[in-house]
Amino acid sequence: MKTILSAVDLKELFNGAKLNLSKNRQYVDNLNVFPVPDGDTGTNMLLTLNATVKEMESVTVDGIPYVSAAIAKGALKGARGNSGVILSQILKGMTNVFASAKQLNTKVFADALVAGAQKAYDAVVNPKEGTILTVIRLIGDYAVKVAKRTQDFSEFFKKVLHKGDEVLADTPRLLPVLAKAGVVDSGGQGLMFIFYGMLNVLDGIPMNEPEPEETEQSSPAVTDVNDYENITFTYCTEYFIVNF
Amino acid sequence: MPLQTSNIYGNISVSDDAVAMVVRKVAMDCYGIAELVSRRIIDSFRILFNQESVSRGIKIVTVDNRIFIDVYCLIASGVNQEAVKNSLKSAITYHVEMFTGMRVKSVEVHVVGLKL
Repeated sequence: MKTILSAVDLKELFNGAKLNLSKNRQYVDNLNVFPVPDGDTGTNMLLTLNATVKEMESVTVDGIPYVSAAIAKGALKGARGNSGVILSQILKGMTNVFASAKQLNTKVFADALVAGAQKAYDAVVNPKEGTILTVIRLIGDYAVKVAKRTQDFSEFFKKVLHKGDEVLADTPRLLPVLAKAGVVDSGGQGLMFIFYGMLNVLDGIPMNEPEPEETEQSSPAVTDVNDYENITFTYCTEYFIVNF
Repeated sequence: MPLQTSNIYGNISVSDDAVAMVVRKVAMDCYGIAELVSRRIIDSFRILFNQESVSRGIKIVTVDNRIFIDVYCLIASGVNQEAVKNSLKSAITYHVEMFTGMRVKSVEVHVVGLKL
């Protein structure tokens, strides 16, 4: 049972989040229909998180404020695409709270989620509901309630993520574009994969590095064009050479 | 010059202001964009006389039914500018092409300042 997170735990959580997102990148990509259906949400979020983890791993000093600062910086620098920028704002809001807390317990984590949502909402004029913004806001609100009763992080995450799944399933009702395409919001789904990755680390569920994609396409077998044995189309070709 | 196209029933023209309205809506919905700001003297005069201009901070030029868009904006502070610019560009291109059915040749996003 884990009630307080250390800087090392925080690093492990983010590593787990990255692993889980990279496993499900393709799935998130396929959900992307809003605002531009270009199928890159998963990739963008993963690139952002990769940069975050890279910056975080470069911190050698033990201490939550240092790790938090690195997370915020890495996310800001590495942000790609719409969902990546929103993710970086969420992480920035969250890590601000982490850095100023004495102990990282469930209450602080819940406050961090609320701060993350607040930060994410601050940077947009017309926030669209039914997106990653709605998911983080409602998760945060619920987390504050859960944290009052729950000290164990694993249990806390399970309850909060259960709520998150409900919110995510509700996104097509809030955003008609999603309902039309018959999908849930891609950014919200990506965020859930990140938090599920963290839960897997807390529960000690191993996650394997995803198989590297086969970039090399198996080239179709080259058929012998000059197969004189089996000529199926028999044409006669004649050339007329003029001005010879 | 408005965009011109025709089908079997007759001619269709889409005015630059209509395109500008689409651009404005997309830009204001885009994450990280705080405001569109005027960069032309005519817009400043309109503000002086309390007339809201739909094309404030947006320049649309159409040549041979290809659209060139310039957007002047303030960006929210603390976000990755490059990423916001790119996502605004792709959102504008997509929505304007969907709306007009014509090619957007270029979208230039000019960051005029930060909104603190």
